[in-house]
Amino acid sequence: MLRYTLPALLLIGSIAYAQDVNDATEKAMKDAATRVAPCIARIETSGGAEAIWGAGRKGPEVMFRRGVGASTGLVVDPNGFIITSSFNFIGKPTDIFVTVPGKPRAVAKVIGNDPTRMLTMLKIEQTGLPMPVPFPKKDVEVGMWSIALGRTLTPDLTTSPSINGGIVSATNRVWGKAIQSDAKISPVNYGGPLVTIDGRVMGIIVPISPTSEGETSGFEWYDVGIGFAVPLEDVMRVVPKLKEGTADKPVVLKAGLLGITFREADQYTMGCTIDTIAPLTPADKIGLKVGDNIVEAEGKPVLNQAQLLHLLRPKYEGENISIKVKRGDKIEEYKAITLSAQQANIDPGFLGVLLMRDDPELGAEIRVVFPNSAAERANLEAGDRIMKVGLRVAGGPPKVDPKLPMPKGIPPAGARAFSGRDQFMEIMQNFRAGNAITLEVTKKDGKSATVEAVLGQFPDEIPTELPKISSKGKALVAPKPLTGPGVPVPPKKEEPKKEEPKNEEKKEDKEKEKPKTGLLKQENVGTAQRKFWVLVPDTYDPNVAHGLIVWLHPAGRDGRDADDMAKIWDVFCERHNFIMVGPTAGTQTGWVAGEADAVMDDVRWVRTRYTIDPKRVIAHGQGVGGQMAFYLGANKREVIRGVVPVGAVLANNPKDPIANQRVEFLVIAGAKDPIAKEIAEGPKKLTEKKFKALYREMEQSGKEYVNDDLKVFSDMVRWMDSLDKQ
Amino acid sequence: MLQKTVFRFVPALLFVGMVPSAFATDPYDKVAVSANEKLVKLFGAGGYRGAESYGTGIIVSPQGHILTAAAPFLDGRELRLHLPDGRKYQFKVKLIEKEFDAAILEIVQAKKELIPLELPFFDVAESVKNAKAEPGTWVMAMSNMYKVAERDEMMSVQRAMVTSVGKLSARRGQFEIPFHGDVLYLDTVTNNPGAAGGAVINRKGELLGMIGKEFRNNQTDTWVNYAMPLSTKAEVILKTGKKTFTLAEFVELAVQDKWVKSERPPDSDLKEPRVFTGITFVPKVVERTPPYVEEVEPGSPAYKAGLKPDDLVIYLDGEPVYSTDIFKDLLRRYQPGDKVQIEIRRGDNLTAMTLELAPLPKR
Repeated sequence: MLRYTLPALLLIGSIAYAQDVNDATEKAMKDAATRVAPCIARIETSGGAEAIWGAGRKGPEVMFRRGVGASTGLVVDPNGFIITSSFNFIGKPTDIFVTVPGKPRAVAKVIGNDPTRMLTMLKIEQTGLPMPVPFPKKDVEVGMWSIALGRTLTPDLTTSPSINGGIVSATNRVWGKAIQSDAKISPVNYGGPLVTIDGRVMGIIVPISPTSEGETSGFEWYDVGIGFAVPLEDVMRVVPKLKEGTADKPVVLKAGLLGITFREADQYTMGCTIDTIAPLTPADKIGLKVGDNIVEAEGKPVLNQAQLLHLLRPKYEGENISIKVKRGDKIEEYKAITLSAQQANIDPGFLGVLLMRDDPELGAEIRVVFPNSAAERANLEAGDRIMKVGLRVAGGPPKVDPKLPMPKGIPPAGARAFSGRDQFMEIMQNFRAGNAITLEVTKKDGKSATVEAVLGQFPDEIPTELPKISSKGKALVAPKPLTGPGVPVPPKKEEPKKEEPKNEEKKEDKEKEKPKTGLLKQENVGTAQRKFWVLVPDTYDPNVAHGLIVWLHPAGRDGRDADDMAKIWDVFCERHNFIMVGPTAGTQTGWVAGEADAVMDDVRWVRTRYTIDPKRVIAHGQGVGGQMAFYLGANKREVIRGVVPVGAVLANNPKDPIANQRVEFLVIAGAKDPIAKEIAEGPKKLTEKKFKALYREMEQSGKEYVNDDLKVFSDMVRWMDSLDKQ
Repeated sequence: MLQKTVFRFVPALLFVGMVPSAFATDPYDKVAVSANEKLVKLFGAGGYRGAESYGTGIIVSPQGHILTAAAPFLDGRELRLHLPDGRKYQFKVKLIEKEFDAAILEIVQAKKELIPLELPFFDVAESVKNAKAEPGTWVMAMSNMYKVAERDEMMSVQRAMVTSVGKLSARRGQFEIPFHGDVLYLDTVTNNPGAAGGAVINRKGELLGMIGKEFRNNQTDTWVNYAMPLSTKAEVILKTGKKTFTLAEFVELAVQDKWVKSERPPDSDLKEPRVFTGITFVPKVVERTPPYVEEVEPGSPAYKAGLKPDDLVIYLDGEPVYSTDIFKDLLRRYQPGDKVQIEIRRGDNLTAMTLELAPLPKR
């Protein structure tokens, strides 16, 4: 009651009161800034990149230039620990200096990062630093004053920090991780404190985005009245962990994950039905099953993914969550599941074969056996037909490393029948490197054999030669139903790609009779008036599924490179059964993330008219187009299976791999490209995340296209052709 | 539960009941109306690449002298203004001073109606004495941004807070910054097209400063909203030497025809520094090469100061040096004989030293 009447009383009556309220508020704000000022540090950097790939004002993933100015941090431990926004270091500066008011400037080291909240911990060799007073997270209310303080604008630390006033716009934002304020929040105060009118600290100001996890995400909202701060209470909770880091070995805090994906298309669709469970993740270890429906978390009912994520997303690796799932008619309860950062050591298993495509018959014929692979050691040969595959029955030879746990949630051991490459790959995606499997094979000479193999890792080499014949030419024939002994393959999810043509075909019966081939330039397609080109080899046969190369042109080459690309690619598209599509970026400066859906529309246009092999849809681009290829690889994983960026730096930290959405990377750079070193970092980051990522350098080239180096070019083509290796 | 709801509603009703009267009598309105009497809407002929052909001005004398920002359209013809009461006048540019990025205008009256104007005006000399602005001060910004107001319509009033007081940037770079002295950073989007030359006043209606031109800060790479306070200073180069004036002093002298224009050589003539330090930095391999010293020429100013190879320069006269380019950029401000303080990192220690800059050696 008091809380509401006081201001009301103050407003009653005269002009003088109105003025007094304003005067009092103005004074309180200044005093609040003065109170926190001693704990607000100014941070300066030297060296590092000025141009950053990432979020921009018009949308994420366009290039913007990082300002070179100072930034802000907050003391969180008297012994020289300063917390700040990771945004301030995205340029990877070589030297960092921190000045706490009243203290000499000091050399600072990055000792920890919290990418879940975009925070970075710095250490300086100083003691006795003043500490801020935290404001309880539970008391933060919408509408209360929130003042954003920064140390960017002036180097004079004897003056007040910069003050931007506003109110709390929302609490529990970004999956419960942030407070939202309408104070002017920008690089001017990123890393600084958001304080209450009495000078207590609510949170640390960070650019953060509910939709993307990149280190620059959220920046596009600077100064628009939307700003975020991570509650100081949450920060203080992880300060002890962050303090354990050193300059040589910074601590990296990771989000706690269960290791599952959901079947529902949208986070707000009713239901949390588990669609996939990644091996060795908490979900796998405690025995969650595909098809389980999560109905409760942390004692609260959850009706959709969003409600679950609100409870799950704020958690770190090592923290616990309790859930209840509905399995059939029963409710199963799992208490205190310890979350982990996903997929610590999981390499998908690689047998070492490339199978003949478009084959509806039982089993699948081997097209290529990879050198030094499990398949080669098992004496498999091109021409052999694999009839059944499964996890080896325990007990028999060969010996398996006992430390490697067997995957759970997959059918019991024993060879299973299948029809064609796709079903084979579906079974294989359950296995990981080190698993022993059993294969029933009909050898070339017609004899049957049972072989066993311990799966290896996906190879770094690209096969030097691929037999020209890759297809049985029956892409339009449905796979043979499985009968007889062996565990039947569970009912397959629909392959939408193969369903789509039928609908369209009805409409365009005439067109269907003889699909157009050659270089087809399309304009004003769809409501968005899209412009793109398609290259279809003259040898196109609808009964041979073609791979699809999505060419993302470099900046300023919008569509005009169609003829050049066609000249380079024509013969390869014919030889390796590829169709190429060249969407057009909306602006001269290149691609923005918002165009990803338009690109997918172009892809869909091709898929509805031609038989496309969903296992070989490749995003291939150069320069900004390469950035876009990375982006599609991360965000359109239901479609993209391969990413081949040329001369492009991986901008954001890669997301985690998803078990049934395989995507591989081949990163290409010219050795003489000044950014070759940065480009080479990309595949390393991807490999750390357990993606298969190869790197090839064109020795004599700078920023040219791959045809500048025939060796790399032919490697690339064979890599693309072997994308459905298993 | 019911009780709680009622409690919440009662004060809410109180609020609703009180708010109109509170706002109606709030000094904001009175102050804004009074300030509006002292502001003019400026219009030019247009046609200046990307720059708008209109602006705002502050009346600083009863005879019709006007302070505004040095906008490009002032160079053109057909200059006219609207007084707060809607009267239309031609005006001429009395003078433009680059050091303040400001112009003083004069209303031109037709000969036959030559009667004294007796306009309400801001007394700049008085304002600079009384009105102070510091971080946290609540202010109002008034301008004809986007030329929303016509003739006798009131200027747009924006609430703002002084975020900080400081310099836009120390760099006289390729992208020239409008003003080199202290400015008031504001927390509202005040620096819109046509707003330059508008007034920033405090809640008592006292003039604090003039809204500056639109500007993108190279330090944070964000758009900056700022005003030039009347007390801000600029260094003027005269034949007799350098001299420092406040914006208020400039206005007073200019109105009295006593201002002598600065003779700073245009920055385009200053592509290269005119001074010599003796430092050779590591080669520029990346865009932001940290300014590590590679070599120090024996006998040079840097040598005498004790600079050594592998030192990292972080500050030059209080300005952060983020890269070799910035160091070179900053040096252009100096003349031989000037003393500069630089701060360096040697290992994990930070040290300050003074360099007496030498003339460029003849080659």
